[in-house]
Amino acid sequence: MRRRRLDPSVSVVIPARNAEREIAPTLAALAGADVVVAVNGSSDSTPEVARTYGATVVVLEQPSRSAARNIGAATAE
Amino acid sequence: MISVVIPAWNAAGLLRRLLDVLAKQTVEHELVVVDAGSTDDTARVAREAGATVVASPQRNRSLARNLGVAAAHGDRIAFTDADCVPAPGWAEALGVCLESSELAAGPVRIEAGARPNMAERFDLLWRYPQERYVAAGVATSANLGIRRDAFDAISGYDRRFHHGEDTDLCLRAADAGFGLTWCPAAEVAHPAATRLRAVARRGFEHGASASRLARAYPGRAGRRYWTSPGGLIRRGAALRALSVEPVDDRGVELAARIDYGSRIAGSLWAEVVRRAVR
Repeated sequence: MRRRRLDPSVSVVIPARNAEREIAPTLAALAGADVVVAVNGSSDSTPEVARTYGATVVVLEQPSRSAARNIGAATAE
Repeated sequence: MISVVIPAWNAAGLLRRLLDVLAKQTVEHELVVVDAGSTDDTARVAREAGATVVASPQRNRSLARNLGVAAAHGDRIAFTDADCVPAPGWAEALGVCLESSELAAGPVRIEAGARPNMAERFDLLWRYPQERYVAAGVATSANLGIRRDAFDAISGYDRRFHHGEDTDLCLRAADAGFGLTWCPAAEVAHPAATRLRAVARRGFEHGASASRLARAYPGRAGRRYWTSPGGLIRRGAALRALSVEPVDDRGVELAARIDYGSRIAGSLWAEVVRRAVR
């Protein structure tokens, strides 16, 4: 199957918290895209899983979805 | 509220000192520490001081400060660095100055031991001429405040500038019509360099960023040091290039020449290795 060409000027920002299981299929589906996972308040292996899929990972130790979106957007190229 | 944003990398010891001092600020504030992949206790020290902690995916001061602002809740932002020591009234004074101007910068006072060595004596002589910087429309981020809406309007720091990022930020803010005001009551202390090697490294980085700024802002900012090697040859010229009158101190003269020579090397490097911006 030919992979779709994804617009490199678009980055996908995903806020994630304790989502080590749910995030894998999402990232697999986004393969080839510029993905920033903004982990917030996580105590599981969400950052490691996201890195395995080649995503840029930025971690906010405190849980805050809106702040996570902001830092994700600031990280995106 | 004012949010204090601090980029940090392997700076646990310095950060502990800074956070202790910030706990004595005269105004309520939020602390945000951005850790760029430290292998020491930086994140733990920040957490214990009650700071919001962000782990940056890159070691880049511009990105780190942008991430810190993104995680902050204040309508005003105060930037300083892990090796700085702000006065107790710093955040309050900066907050007041930001009521009348979108950007505000205060003095950065250099501190050294009782018997300063040549590197320290050199730094005491010239660093930081923040008031002169502000008069020229720029400021160092070691002591810089900005309103959050203004920061967002210019998309924050440009991460292509690893050094000179503060000059670039101030110039873009000016282009957007934002004012920068001198805020003498908001004082930050900064240790002098203690070794000539540190003077050389800083000079190199400064020379490189000055070249890039000269390219990005022709006639307005930056300087191509390699085009004026005279500062290296004539006695006192390296100090005069920093707007300091030469002094009768051979150690300072040597440190100034090392600084100037490193600036030339850095500017050449930036011209040849065109990690160019714009």
